Amino acid sequence: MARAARNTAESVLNPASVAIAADRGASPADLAARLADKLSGDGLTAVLVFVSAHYDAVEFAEAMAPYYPKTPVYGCTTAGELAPSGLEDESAVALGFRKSDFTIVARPIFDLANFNPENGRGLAREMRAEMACSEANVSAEHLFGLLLVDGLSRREEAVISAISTALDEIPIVGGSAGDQLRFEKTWIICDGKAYQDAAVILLISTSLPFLAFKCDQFEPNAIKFVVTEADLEQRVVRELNAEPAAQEYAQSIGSRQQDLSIDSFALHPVIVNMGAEHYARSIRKADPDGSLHFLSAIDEGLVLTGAKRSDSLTVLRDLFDKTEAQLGEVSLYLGFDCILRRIDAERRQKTRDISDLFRSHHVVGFNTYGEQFRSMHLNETFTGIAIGRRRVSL
Amino acid sequence: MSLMPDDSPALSRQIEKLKKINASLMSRLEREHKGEPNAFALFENAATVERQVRQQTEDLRQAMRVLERSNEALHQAKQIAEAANALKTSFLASVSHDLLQPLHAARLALSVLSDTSAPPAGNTLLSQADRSLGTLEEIIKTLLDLSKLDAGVLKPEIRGIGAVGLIEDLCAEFGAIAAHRGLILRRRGSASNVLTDPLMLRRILQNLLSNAIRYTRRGGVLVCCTEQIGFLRIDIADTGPGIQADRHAAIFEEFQREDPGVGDEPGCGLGLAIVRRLAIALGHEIKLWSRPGLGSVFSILVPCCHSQDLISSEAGKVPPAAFDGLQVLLIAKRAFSMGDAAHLLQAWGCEIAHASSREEASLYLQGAERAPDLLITACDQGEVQAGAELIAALRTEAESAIPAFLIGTMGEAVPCGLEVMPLPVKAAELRALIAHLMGPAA
Repeated sequence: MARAARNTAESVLNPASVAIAADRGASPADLAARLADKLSGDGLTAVLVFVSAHYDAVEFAEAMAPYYPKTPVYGCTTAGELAPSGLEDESAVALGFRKSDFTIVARPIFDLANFNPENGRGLAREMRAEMACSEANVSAEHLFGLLLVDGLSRREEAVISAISTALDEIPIVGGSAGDQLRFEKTWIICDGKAYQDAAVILLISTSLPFLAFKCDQFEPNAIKFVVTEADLEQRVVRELNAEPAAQEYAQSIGSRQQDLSIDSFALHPVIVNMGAEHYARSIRKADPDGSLHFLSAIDEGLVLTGAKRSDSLTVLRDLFDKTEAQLGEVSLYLGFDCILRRIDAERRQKTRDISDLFRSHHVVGFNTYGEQFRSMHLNETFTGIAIGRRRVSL
Repeated sequence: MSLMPDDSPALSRQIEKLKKINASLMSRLEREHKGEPNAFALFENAATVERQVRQQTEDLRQAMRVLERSNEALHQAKQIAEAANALKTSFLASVSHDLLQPLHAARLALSVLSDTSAPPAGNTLLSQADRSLGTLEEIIKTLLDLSKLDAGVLKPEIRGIGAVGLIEDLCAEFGAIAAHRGLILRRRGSASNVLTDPLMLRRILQNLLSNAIRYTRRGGVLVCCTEQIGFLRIDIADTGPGIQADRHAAIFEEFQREDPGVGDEPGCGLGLAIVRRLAIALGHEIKLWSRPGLGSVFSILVPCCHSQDLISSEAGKVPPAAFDGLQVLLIAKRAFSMGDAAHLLQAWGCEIAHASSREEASLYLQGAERAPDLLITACDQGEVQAGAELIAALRTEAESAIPAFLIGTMGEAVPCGLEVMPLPVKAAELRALIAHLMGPAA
């Protein structure tokens, strides 16, 4: 395979703000050793790592910890990596945030099944207070939040809603952890351990210019589905238009229920219209009983609309142009890109182009099971934080 | 369309489906209104808030862009206006200075000439020449004042004064002129104490009175004081030709004047312009009532004050004085800038010594038996500060606070404790100032 042949071992020396290392390994321990070799913990305030679910997350988390005795390591498993070399698989990307440019306050949340929004808000306020006690610049325009959350927890709406309420005007972006499209277990890495049903929030202060971004674009068609029966808690839709959901969906895209795959879901998104905005609700799986599993909240009586994705390359170029017009030169896009967008691009033979575009614009991050932007949990978007260069005052 | 029996199971099924869809939609709508929270409702709220925030941000950004643009335009317009104003002010100041200096010299020369014996015909010509020069001087000084008021250099010194004395003085001053023109000048009402800059108020009333007398051919002028709540209203009413209603605003502009009528000498058209500016500077309201054929009433509203704020306005009345044997040291870079003033001083019996520089002045101090009684320094425009420093240095050298003043241009910052006599020097003013500086002993 062309991708396997490409050299993915990279370390981008970026002394200005964020040091980046990416590699593959024969084992979780080997991968950790290789990353640590390229990314010294000296002068770093925290390490963020996105690791393919190809590797055992628990072993990897344990293997990383000894290399960073004084630097906390946070991260999650992925459905694909956005590395300095472009789109990757079965690899890991590590970002080292320099102390000189960043101050980071982080908190894990465990047991998301019993997540209490009031505790979530308290946690976020606690983080703000801790940031205020540090020497960092704590005015809102110097702060942003990052969220990494178990992509199968089905608690993203509750978590992002609680945190963003308490963080007020501070922009927050995030990604739902993935597991190479197996949809079995996704992991959050924190303090040398890997957890399921967990999340980690980072509140970051920096004097560097930055901008939270989100992009997606859909062209709705005439197909309408009304959710007539659903298990809201499980994000499972059993009936659309009073028919078995999978059958109704398959019919609408000219397919058969038994032929539905992740490819069908990626190529034929369904969206919710709100005013002039379109928000995708991604389907991840069809059960033989005709149920459809979603990656974000749904509701009974909800109207879903069939849609086509606009040309990703054009939309991405537009995003990069606009961001750079506002921010100046961008040293790094920390991005969370939905795995269904990547599958869509692969089926349309656009992977190489997108990979090149990401590489040339310094995009690093991972392919997600969902993206968070401000107070929303979204599907099928490319979301993140663009970090600019230090502005030299004349 | 009739229903075929074969269709009925399919139709029933279709109806059942639609019923279910309808029920789902309705139940969701109802739940929405009840506000029952579920995960999707959280998302929906978030999306709504996000849309509102984005709309507000966009609105703000646009409003800011509009503001930035209009600010820029305003800033440019302001800069242009300020530049034009500064140019006008400096032009007027320098023109006034250049005109005043030769005028001053000419009038002093005339005054000295009239003191010496001249034939009667010559004296008539002399007095005509002096009157013309006097008018010219008035116009130039008024222009200079206008430019200073515009530039904000002339700031009112508001204090409490008794309006009675001021109005009595003015009526006495103008009574003779009115009588000369066959007019009656009357005063009515009782004046209270007011808060104002007495010099500026005097100037306003002078201009109004002078206009009233100039434009009135029959009848007279009445100065009437009326107390209103918190204000003293001073009316100057005449039985002149009156002013057309559409001219009421225009006459307060520069170089606007009414036709004075045959045989009358016209004013320069600056009187009301300066009245308006002075009133604005003082914050006093000016009103005009007029009917063509009946006459005009100009009113000014001056705020009243309590009697404890009063300062005596009796000072400034100058007794005639002679200065026999007064030793005066004149310091002037160029002889002509004070040469004529020297004649006056000599005529009054002063002993004059000249110095053209600081060094010469020091030499004089060292050689003289005693320090001079008075130091006078002539300053060109912009040199008032230097002149003040020179006086301070000479006082130090003489180890005595010799009385001193400056002759120079008005409008420059006056160094503390020093009087500046504006050009051209008037004999009466010069005499009054010297008498004041020398004290009662002189």
